[in-house]
Amino acid sequence: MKKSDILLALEKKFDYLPKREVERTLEKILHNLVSNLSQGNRIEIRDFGTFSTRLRKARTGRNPSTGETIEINDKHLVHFIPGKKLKKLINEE
Amino acid sequence: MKKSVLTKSLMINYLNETIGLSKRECQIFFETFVEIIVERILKKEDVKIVNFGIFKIRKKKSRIGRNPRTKEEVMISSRHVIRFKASEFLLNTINSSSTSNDEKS
Repeated sequence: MKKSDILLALEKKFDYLPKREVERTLEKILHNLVSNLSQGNRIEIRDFGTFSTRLRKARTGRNPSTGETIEINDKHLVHFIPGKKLKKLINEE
Repeated sequence: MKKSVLTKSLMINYLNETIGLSKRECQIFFETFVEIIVERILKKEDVKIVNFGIFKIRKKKSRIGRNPRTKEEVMISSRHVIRFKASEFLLNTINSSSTSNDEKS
């Protein structure tokens, strides 16, 4: 499942829209998600889940094969918590 | 910029302002987008979204857990969990912007 598959599925459902429009709308959705995360905003989608960014502190790492120590800078990570409904659905068989 | 929460309605407003679709159409579009992802996740398929990230479905085995307070043993049944891994592009973007927030992990 890749973006192109999502795009194809969207084009199928919205066959009354020009394909270009569907593609542009999908791109805008992704653009808005990325830009909100990069501003430090949380993303909350009901029944789906929440994305937030977290800061991982700088730490000293070690190259496992050479034993060499290296400084690892702090880094923002993206954290996803699935919503209750999604969690429940995925465990229902 | 002030930190806020992006919700579905804000997403719909944004789409409505940037694209020539009505709010109702934007809502249906966004909801369909989410539904397609959920559908694949429920089929236990990994969902990869280029330039955003990948949702991976993992199966966890059942194990014995213990209530730390009462020391009571409980069976934790096997279950599926969803992992999200951000793409290189997304990580680079959030790390190159200076306004990123620092929610405590």
